[in-house]
Amino acid sequence: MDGLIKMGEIKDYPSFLAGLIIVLAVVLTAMLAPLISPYDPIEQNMPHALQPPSAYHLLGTDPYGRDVLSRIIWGARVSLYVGLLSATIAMIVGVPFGALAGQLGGIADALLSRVIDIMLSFPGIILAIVVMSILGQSVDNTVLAISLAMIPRFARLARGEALQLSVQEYVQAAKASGAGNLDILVHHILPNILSPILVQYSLSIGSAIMIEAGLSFIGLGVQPPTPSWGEMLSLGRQYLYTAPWLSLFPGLAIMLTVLAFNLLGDGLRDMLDPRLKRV
Amino acid sequence: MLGYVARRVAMAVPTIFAVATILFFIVRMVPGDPAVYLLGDMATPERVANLRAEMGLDKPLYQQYIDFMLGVLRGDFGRSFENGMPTMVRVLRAFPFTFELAVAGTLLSLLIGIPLGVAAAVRRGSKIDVLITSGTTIGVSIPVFWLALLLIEFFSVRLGLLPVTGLGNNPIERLRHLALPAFSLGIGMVATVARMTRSSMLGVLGKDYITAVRAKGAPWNVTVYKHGLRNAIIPVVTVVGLNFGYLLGGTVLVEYVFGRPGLGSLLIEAVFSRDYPQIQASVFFFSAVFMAVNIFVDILYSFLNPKIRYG
Repeated sequence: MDGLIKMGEIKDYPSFLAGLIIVLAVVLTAMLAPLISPYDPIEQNMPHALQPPSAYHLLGTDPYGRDVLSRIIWGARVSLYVGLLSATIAMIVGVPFGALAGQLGGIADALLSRVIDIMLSFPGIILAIVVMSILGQSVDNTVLAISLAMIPRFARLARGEALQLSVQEYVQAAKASGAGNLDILVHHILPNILSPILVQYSLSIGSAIMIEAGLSFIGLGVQPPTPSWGEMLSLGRQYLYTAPWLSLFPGLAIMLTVLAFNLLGDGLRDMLDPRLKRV
Repeated sequence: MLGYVARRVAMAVPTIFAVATILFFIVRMVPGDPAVYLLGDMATPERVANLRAEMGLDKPLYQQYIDFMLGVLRGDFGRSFENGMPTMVRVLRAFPFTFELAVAGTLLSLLIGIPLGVAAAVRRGSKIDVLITSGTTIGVSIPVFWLALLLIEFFSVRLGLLPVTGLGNNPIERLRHLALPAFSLGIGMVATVARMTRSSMLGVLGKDYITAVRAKGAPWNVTVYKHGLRNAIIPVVTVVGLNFGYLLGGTVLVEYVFGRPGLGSLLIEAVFSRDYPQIQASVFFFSAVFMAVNIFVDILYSFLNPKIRYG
């Protein structure tokens, strides 16, 4: 894959560039939260409760007098932590299993395909809800629940790609010259299925962030007072009539971040697959 | 054809079985004793023992499993901890509301998404195409529950046009109550439908027979809708079917925001009250519906497209 993308070419892929810029902005926001956040995100300040956006509180304050902007800035940490970690775990677990099944075929493949089918027969967020209800609510359990829900997607993708590769001549040649299964997987299959996996990875970070927000919105994910965008929205829901800014801004943050990872994924797909190059 | 249908249904049986097995074990992974949880920490050991016997928790695990699976075969998932009603009865009562919402959301997404996709494909590369294509990328990135909040804020709080909660007593009221939830749910799917329609139309419009129809002198509209769209619709139907799972997942959040009854509300309520039999029954039903829709889509697909041969 190296050398395929030249830095100068990135400007030919506006969606990738736009996604990259927003993702970097969100990452920086999360990293610099202690420096750039104007107020403490957790400390309550009741006299300042429910203030509309103003010069002092750019995005207003919540029912506990906490600055909404500060909570959104700190919330980026939770969203990125959960999004990146759960997509990474799902990829690391799903891809080798799927690829090996596709490569080996036969009983191993049949078995794994069934497991994938079974895992996919639960709609993602419902699986996550059930897992959270069993494990109890915490940030790390949220990561676990979401990665579980996303493993089958990676496994299915890797299986399909590996299945196609396994009949290629160079893989057959490696097999004929005595290479072991693991050797073939690591040296011949995995490097060649990297592109679609990378695209899926980027899109999965977006959907993981979305699921986390959904879980926290219901009250099953990240628990207050830890600032998380979904939890902020669930608070906003109770004040729709009196303080609509509470619902507006955290949702905007979720949308922008998810959009950024989707753009990144779509852009990567265009870049890595010349067949899909838009004219 | 019939053989294919039978085989497809038969393939789902072990999956359903596995889903039930997972649900049996997952609930037993919960730390603590459900009987103690139900009665509270202060309950006497006798009462706990009695309840454990009543719930079958005193039997060996394999016996519990056999009892559970026999129950599943009869559609009996036990009684709700909440109110003692059979859990499946509660599920079946809630389902029509979720079904109504899912169908309305899907229809809305087709009604909006297909014309958008066609418009983008026909004017490929134009400003309209760029607008629609980037609009769909934004569309799939909007959280359903946030959109729901925005719609409530605008249409109900500001304009006072549409109701937020409740179901409505007559058909017109019912539709008005359904409007905001269905729209919140459908918008993500609009993006998917529009994208798929666009790419499928682009493929079809490049075909020789379209050129032939044009050469024959058929008007552009007839060419696009009668000859183009009809052939482009199959992948759209498939993608709607395959995304039905996401839609079902979305109903959970939408029902929660609007306080609508349904499978999702039932599940969330059960999760918060740790009503494990109810969780098992609800999730089982969700999966069963999801699988049934997938099978239906596969069959529909093979029916719409006779070129596909299933060996």
